[in-house]
Amino acid sequence: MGNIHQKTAPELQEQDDFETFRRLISSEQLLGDSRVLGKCATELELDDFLRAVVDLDLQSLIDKLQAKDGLNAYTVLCAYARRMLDCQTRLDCVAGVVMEAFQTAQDTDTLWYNSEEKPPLYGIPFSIKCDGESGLANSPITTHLRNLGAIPFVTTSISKTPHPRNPWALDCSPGGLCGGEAALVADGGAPFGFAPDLDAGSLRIASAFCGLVTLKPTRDRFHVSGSNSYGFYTKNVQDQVFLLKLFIGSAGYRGLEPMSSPAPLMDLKLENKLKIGWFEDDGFNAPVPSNRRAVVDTIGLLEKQGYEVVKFEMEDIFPPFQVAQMFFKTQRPVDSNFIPNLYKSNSQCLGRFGKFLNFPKLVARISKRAAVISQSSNMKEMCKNLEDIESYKLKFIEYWKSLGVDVLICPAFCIPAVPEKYLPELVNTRLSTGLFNMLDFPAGIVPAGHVTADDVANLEDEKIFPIDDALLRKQRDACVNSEAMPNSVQIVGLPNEEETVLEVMKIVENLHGPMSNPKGF
Amino acid sequence: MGNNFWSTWSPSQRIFSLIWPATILYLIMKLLIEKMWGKNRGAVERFQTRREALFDDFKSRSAPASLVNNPRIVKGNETAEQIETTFNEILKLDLIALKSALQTDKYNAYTVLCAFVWRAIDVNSEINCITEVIREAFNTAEALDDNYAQTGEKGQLFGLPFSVKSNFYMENYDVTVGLAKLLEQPKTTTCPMVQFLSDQGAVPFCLTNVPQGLLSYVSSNPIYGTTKNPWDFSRTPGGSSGGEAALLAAGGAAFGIGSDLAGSLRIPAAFCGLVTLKPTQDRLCVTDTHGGLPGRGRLGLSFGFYTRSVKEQEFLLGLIVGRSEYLELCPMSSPAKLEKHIEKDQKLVIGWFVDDGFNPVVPSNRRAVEETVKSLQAKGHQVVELKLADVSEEFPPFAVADMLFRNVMPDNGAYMSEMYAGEQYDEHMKLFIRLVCLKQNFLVSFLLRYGVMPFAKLALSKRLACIGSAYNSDLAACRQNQENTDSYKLQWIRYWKSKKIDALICPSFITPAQPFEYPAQLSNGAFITGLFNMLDVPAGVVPVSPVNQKDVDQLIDGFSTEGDLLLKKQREAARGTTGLPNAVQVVTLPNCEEMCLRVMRLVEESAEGVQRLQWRVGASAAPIDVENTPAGVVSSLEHFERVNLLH
Repeated sequence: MGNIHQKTAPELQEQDDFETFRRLISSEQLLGDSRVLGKCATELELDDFLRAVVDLDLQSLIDKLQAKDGLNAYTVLCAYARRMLDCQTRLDCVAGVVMEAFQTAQDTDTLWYNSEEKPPLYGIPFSIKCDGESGLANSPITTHLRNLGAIPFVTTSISKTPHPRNPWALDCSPGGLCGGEAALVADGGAPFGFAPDLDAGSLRIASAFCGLVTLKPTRDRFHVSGSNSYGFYTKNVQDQVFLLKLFIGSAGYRGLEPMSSPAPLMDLKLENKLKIGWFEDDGFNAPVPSNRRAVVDTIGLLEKQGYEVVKFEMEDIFPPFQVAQMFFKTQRPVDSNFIPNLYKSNSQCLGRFGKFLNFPKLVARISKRAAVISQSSNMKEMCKNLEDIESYKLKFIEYWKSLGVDVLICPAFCIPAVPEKYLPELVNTRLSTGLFNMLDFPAGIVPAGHVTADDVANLEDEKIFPIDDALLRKQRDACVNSEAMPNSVQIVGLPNEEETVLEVMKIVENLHGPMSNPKGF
Repeated sequence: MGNNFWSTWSPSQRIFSLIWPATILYLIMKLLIEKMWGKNRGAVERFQTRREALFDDFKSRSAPASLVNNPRIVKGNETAEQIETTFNEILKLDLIALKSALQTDKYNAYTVLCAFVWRAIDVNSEINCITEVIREAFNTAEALDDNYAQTGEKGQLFGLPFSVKSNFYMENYDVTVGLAKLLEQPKTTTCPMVQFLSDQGAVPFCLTNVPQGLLSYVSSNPIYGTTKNPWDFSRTPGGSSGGEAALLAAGGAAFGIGSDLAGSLRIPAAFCGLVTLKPTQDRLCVTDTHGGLPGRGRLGLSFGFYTRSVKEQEFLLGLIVGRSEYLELCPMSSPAKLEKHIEKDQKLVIGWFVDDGFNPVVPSNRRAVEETVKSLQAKGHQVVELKLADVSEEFPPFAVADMLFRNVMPDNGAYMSEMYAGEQYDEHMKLFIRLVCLKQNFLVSFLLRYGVMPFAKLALSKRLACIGSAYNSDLAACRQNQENTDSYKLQWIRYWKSKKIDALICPSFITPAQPFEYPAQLSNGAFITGLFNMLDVPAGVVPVSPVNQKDVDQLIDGFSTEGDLLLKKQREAARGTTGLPNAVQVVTLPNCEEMCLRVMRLVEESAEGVQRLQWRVGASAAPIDVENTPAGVVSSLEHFERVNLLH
């Protein structure tokens, strides 16, 4: 009896909410509900009809909702609620449901269904980002989405403890703090998602792990108070552009969030073929063969299309380990516990090293990357560090301009999706995304195929993936079962040049072809 | 026996025995200071020599007598008198008129540059606002004229001479911010703002003075000396852009540029009677400058212009904000162009306050707001009084002030004190610098926070206690302060929207221009300007009716010091300010610079009695009432006359 897990009151409440949701969308309930369109007579017809709704891509879904006598909000909500519950069963990616969703959908239909002019996101269900301690957030971004006619129906958590699973491989993580949102979208449980790109790039990490498209804008181009940057998860670049245009420079959004820039997202008018910079290794932490190949393949394809490509030598800007030092110093105030957590991991390997954290030279002998991560710091050094970062940013831009490139293509991350237990141990990988938070450059993620058997085999070849560090060894171990996982590239632009980044994202997406869906439906 | 020993000394012997060790101690300390500065002394002396040589060169090159028959001088170059007449005509033009004259070939770049150099050298010899001249200026002007002769093309700012605040980088020039250790380290890059203005045809011709380390609002340092306010030579023009403001107010440049971290653009504008606007930080991002407060917390560092009118301000900001040529130089700057507004007759909702809840302002600055608000109300605009204590229950005004001061020095000044190590301290700033350096000692810091400050709060000044107690004990406290700042920003915006206001009018500062010794004692003044850097909102300054005798008289009965030492100092600082410039601050929501400029124009139109300085030409005509006029004003009036502005 003592072994039985005692559920807390909030957890019991959440289960009740899920059950209520499940009842509301049961076949018996919906077959008799005139608010559900489709005129289905049998359970089978209903299932087929609703599945067809959730299989639509975002643009098609919007078209049907906007059309006269097309879909209505209530039907679409029911369809997505069903899919969401299936996703939840497999992935445990949702923190809770929004009980008011069905009433909201009905009210929205009453208001808009017969209207000639519908708001642009009429009837589109979306999930709300929530922090466990403060309950549902009425953030400007949520308010703006509702003002555009969208229907909040589930919540995903930033800080809550559930461990969502990756729809591409249930034993793998969908990414750190934003993983639940990304998993839900990747599995088709929501038409799009949004999430903060916390200081180390969590928005983009989850996007890369789940095979989604995202863009972290320049901080004030799309300002969200209390967060460094926010971005959307979509299945393709077109949807990404559509959503960003509704926010960036929008008078409605700026009314809610005055810090956001007044500059709207412009359509790019290209006069010349864009010049592409690229690197496959940032000099601090090498990506595994699959992630490196994604960049090399993409550059090869672009070159065949006639684009001029230029190798970006990160060492020429500033010593990479010193850049890493700058970056990891910025992480201390935000996540001052992550180093102790690093060494509380289950790992036999690092667990032993954790005891020697107080001996920095010994740590450096075991792992020079761990030494960079675990360096101590004080406030005076933090102030100096901020100045060093500003100086590095100028050097970076100067180098960028000296090469004359328009965008930069580099690894999306150092690894593809890996089992959950490895992530806290591989903090060293975070520079690949966090660098562009430190610089405040717009950085997007585009799927670029999948990890191949050759990629996995190459992990063992130290000529291709040299192991010179305990953390790199662990990185290799994390990826031994990564075959068939999504692979991506990162596309970076100068500040305030989101338009150029999105243009190249579109080009890269076309070169690689559409991303397939995870198996399961 | 011991007692007998001392008693056997004669009184003169006793005095001598005390004087002797005191003398030795003094000599030792003096020697230490000399030695510490010694390695930089050579650099300072070399710089001073070079500086004087360049001043002399510029003086001779712009002297009308030496320009006789110079073909580059237009509108007659046969006699020195003829040239002088042309120069004086040029110098009387406002920026828009001067630009028009240059664009229509009435004048050329070289002539205009000579005129401004001629005036600037004279101005500088009186108020010491220029740190050094830019050697290439005359060549630049010649090249502009030659290029125009060949191509027929002129940039928008063709031929307009402007000064550069000396913390902005220029290739081949030092950026010392008054610290000797930074001499003889010429910069290899040019600030994009200066580059852009030059690309548009403007001519940078001198660098202007700043406070040592940019730490105060008195523009004074051991290398370049102390800059005087052209309205009253015994007072400061403010800082950290004080040299820039002083030069423009004195008529020595066409416009000025500066940076603003806690009021560095706005305080000098208020003290010198100029117009300026501090934009939202990213609306006009500028790099390649010395930022002053390294690693500052949540404070928007903004850049802007000094002009004499709002129209000029709009012109210059419109030229650079969001322009693609500027974004090429500085991609971090916002791509949003400055919108031109259309509807002219719409009535606005204007919020206002005269009391920020932390530090009251003297009667003149209070009246400035009250009169402006009354005038706008008379024109049909709705006015709403704001109470800053109502913005947030969580953060009353003193807590917000604490937040601000902790953002100014998140490391409690540790990095700052290193900046001053080995430096001779500026005489007007040494009190403040010493306090910052002393705080680095743990024991001193502990005693200050738990012993001295509680006492100060009760017996001396609760404002002083607030400043002295502002402290980040560790990284977590620093982070907490940042989160509090973000939270307060949100609450500010919500309060603003609940009042449905379009713009806010409040005091520009706590006093008009102060004597040199007061800024180091009155850091409390930085709250009314620094608040808007912490909120990162646009904040402009517009001159309004000058200080009058009644304002000064009311310092006794109309300004309660509450027994607060700092408020007493504030009252002292404001004595003798009759006739000095007075101004209001105009604030809007982030990224609403357009609305800010619009309200600034309304304020300017409603202001009465605003004056500007004009250099006296020829023999002085007006007699000065020496007995009833402060000495600093007498000095000013010997060189400048005060001219009413025409709208």
